[in-house]
Amino acid sequence: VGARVTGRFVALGHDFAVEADDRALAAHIETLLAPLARPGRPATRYELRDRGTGVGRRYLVRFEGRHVTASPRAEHAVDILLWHVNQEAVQSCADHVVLHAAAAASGDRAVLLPGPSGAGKSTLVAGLAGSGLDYVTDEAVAIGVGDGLVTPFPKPLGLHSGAVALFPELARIASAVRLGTAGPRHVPPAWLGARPARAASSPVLVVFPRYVAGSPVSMAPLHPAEALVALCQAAFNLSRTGRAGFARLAALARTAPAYTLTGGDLAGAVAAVRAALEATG
Amino acid sequence: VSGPRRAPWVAWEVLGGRAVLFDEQACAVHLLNESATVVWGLLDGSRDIRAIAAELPGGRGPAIDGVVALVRDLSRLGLVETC
Repeated sequence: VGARVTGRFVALGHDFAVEADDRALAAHIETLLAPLARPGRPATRYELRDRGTGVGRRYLVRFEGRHVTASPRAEHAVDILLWHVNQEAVQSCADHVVLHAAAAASGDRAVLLPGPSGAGKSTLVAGLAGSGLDYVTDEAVAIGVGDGLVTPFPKPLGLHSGAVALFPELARIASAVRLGTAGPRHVPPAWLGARPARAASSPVLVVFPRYVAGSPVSMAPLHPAEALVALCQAAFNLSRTGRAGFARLAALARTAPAYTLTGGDLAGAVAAVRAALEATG
Repeated sequence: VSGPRRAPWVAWEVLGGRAVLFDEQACAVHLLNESATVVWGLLDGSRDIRAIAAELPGGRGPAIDGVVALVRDLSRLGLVETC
């Protein structure tokens, strides 16, 4: 069975395709990255090689001929490949300030959800997307330094097993397509019935989520100066965008109301964010 | 008259009466309270500490010690040039 090359994908400014020995793996990657598919020829290429059962770390990932990882498990190799895609996507944004944040949009109006890993960004944006908002991203919000617009990056959502259990539709779909036994850590938005955002949007609301298991949902306004500090701390590339990126984040903090959201109830959190988003309109 | 001045590598924005400083060299942000924000706005090098204190609400009296401490802290952080 020959290698198969996926179609072209564009993740922010990162333009690539994946060549895989295993046609099922290539098809799986195409499913995961479907919202990033674009026509045309890719600028760069990943290779996902299966070196056979006799090799301990049989799955090899290379990017532009350079070693990325080798793993005994296909799903781990795919995890690393997707991680590398995210890294390259963030690095590709010289004219954007990129936040560690999720985002969803209602038309051309976006709510940003900045926070560190474990804050509940992906779960909350999955809930928002499942409730009818467009899915923008769950990891990297790219804001144009010049125009302040958010470029969509609808990568597969990274959901932990506890979060997966909150979405019954995933159990049915994932059983047919998941790799190995690790479960669907990477979830294409389509599996949640969500629409990926296609066009740029204006950030009109910022919510800093903090997941606290078993806690009721509580939303509190944040002083704009404190919001700016938190936005700067969430930025991946402020050292590169410098004072222009800082000024863009200040403009965001000045114009978009900001809140902290604490709690462990997804439905309540989704309702609170949607109400705040509607209030900005 | 020459006095303490904001370092040229520091960008700053005032939101809701509080300044946020961005040290471009260290890629670090600092948040000032409202009183410190007023002082920060006066650190343009044209005033010495006494003149800054005199411009604060309430006059110079006890404000001088506060201004001295603030400028010292900002200087230690590399946000203000004092000579």
